[in-house]
Amino acid sequence: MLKTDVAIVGAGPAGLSAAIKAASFGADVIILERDKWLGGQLVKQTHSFFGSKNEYAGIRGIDIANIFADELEKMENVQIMLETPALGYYEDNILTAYSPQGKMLKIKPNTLIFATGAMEKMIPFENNDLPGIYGAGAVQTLMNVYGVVPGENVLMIGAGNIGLIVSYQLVQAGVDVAAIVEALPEIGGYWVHASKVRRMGIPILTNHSIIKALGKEQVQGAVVAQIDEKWQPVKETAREFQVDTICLSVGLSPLIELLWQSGCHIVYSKELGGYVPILNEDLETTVPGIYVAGDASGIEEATSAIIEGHLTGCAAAKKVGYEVPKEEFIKARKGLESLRAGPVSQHIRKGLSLIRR
Amino acid sequence: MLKNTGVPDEKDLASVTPTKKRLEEGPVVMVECFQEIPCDPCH
Ligand SMILES: Cc1cc2nc3c(=O)[nH]c(=O)nc-3n(C[C@H](O)[C@H](O)[C@H](O)COP(=O)(O)OP(=O)(O)OC[C@H]3O[C@@H](n4cnc5c(N)ncnc54)[C@H](O)[C@@H]3O)c2cc1C
Repeated sequence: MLKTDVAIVGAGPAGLSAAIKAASFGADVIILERDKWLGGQLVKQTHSFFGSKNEYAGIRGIDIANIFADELEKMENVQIMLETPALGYYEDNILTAYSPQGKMLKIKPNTLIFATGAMEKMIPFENNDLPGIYGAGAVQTLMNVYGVVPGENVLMIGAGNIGLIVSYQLVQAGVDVAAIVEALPEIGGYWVHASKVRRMGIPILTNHSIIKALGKEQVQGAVVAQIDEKWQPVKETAREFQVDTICLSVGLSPLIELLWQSGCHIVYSKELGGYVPILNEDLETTVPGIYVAGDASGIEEATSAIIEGHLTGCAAAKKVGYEVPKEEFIKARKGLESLRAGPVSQHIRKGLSLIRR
Repeated sequence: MLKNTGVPDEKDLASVTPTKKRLEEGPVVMVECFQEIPCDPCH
């Protein structure tokens, strides 16, 4: 049985920044990551990040992951366990995980931070199980981590930031993007990204949706139509796109199975992407000693994930008895507040107001 | 228009275009960011 002050599940920006903070105050930390590498979503991000400069915005995502990894390497009180998915957390405060050697591990942490990130959503349409239909995250992983393009012509569904950025990266990789289709009347991603992909010649069709995928063994096309205010397709507007790949970028939902299983109080928040834990101002769940940081507590961005990591790292270290200056908490809370102050974060503020205790 | 199609119109562009005086001074970076977003590296 392994014992530690703080166990962290997930090595994305939230988990890594939490580890660095908690360890900097003297806490022993174990990080469990199911992937082969540190960084979570950062690993596949080849673009310079938007966000707060203090939290590395302006640097490419993959390079931000390397900055964290270099910093953690210098810390003797942090143990990193890669290819080790956490499996469950039980009443006797035991976290179980599966080691790369195929062994069941038991860890008894004094505090636990879940930083498991999010998973991609899917939408219903005819033939949506044909090979050649991917989540945008999967396409990004294929291209930017493994160097494999998904196809030659892509139809992107969803004009949020991820749909816009992945479209741009597809074009960078030499893949044709036929159009970006968006059911809402307005583009959800930042307009600076939208105007950039539009300028590359990719049409953005708002008030449109995919009706069906065409093909038998694999995607050979897609039918797209305008939708009315009741979200019903307007038949006469239906048209075909000849594509071999359909990429879905229709939102993310927090990955919280382990939180359900730990007995944390969970509620549904449309604004935050799905089911999310109720948290106090230290981001502690209703189960004392369990904290949540990053997309797992509501879909946002890397900057907020990093600051939430700092906050939970401080709170967990303090909980197990290490001295953490009050200013650290104030700085993190202020950072989050100013990040979420603008007009585009209105939905985040609304969502958070419902889940804070 | 911009929010529906990604194509900025003259008004959108005017909101991010450097002043006439600055343009006359010579080449200048134009940051085509039309919204107030939680992002600060360009400031
Ligand atoms: C295309 C795209 C572009 C983006 N661009 C930007 C940008 O420019 N600026 C910005 O601020 N944000 C951007 N983001 C968002 C940003 O990447 C995420 O908000 C951020 O990575 C969330 O961090 P996280 O640590 O919460 O989760 P993640 O980065 O998702 O990390 C979660 C980690 O937990 C691991 N994990 C999950 N379950 C388990 C388990 N049971 N056991 C062990 N490990 C587990 C996962 O493998 C993963 O490594 C972008 C996202 C995408 C997809």
